[in-house]
Amino acid sequence: MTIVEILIPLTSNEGTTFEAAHHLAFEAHLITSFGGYSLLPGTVRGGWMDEGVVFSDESRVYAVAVESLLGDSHKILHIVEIAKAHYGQLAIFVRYLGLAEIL
Amino acid sequence: MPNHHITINGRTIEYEPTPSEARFVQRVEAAVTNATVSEAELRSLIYGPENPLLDQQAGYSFVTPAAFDNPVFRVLLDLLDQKRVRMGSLDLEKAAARYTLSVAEAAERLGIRDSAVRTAVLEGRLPSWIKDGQIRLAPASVDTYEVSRRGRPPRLLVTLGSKDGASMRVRVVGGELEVNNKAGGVVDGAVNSWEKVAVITGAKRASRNGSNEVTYRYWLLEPGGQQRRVELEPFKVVGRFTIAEQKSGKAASEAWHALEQMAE
Repeated sequence: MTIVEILIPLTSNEGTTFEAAHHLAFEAHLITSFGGYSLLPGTVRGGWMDEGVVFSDESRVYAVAVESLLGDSHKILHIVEIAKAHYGQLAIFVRYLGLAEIL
Repeated sequence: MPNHHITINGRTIEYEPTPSEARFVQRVEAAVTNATVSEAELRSLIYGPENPLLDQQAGYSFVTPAAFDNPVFRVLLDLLDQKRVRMGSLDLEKAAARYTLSVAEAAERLGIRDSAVRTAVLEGRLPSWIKDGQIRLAPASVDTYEVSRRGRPPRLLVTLGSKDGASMRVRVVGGELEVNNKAGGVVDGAVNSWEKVAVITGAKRASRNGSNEVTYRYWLLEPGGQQRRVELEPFKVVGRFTIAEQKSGKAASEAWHALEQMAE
């Protein structure tokens, strides 16, 4: 069993805060794909650069449990695709086993 | 006697909490109005070990399917939103502005029935906002729903082959046909994973000059939409798909060969 953490922004790229119903719809996908999830306490502040401009953002961290990283990789990639569409993001930050990937 | 909670987006949640759930809801309600409790603290409380709805596993408080489906959980999340409105971190007007599509528009965009959209809204899979008594949906969320449906294409049941002057063939893009049975020129099978499926039928009939000619018809199917069928007795393709292209005669034959060449 491995815990995979998915970082989700608190606000849209336009700066509007996502409300609970918006997060809830994403959480429904987490339930369907992984059978459950946990929202970690606190938030994570980070920054990223696009075409020379530095942006900062704040994320909430969802944790999901997978039986096998390789066997369940399609589930992780699928939920990342859903997160990108749902939150209007070009990439999503994922952490597992002390590693990090921007997918 | 059930309780009723009206959410910030205008929905009414009916819920019957257990005594421990009721105590927890009261505690969260008190925290919403208590200015010394921050939004982060309230979020940690709702998603933390003291929430009786959550399952404690390996040091994590997990939201299980049972907790997720419990209306008390929806009430708690809405109370978190109420806290955010009070603290000024959630602008209701801006949040509501994202919800622009009617149920019919969302259904058309997704190629599904209005009732399927309403069901997804009730289950929380499609977030909504009630405006003037009408359900409104956010285009981004509708697109997400489409992505999730793409991940699991609906299964197609197929009967193919050639018999008594009729024939049907399919070409699966992004998957393959699984054959269950073959007998007398007729193949029964299923397509469980697919991106597109091309179907061509040929019907042989006698022309005016007495010779036989074949009339071809072609369809290009994509996942999603209502339950449909393409058929030429005794052959058929049945499942939830939309018809992206439809041709007949020479154009049908050309489309089929073009797809074959693309696949090669």
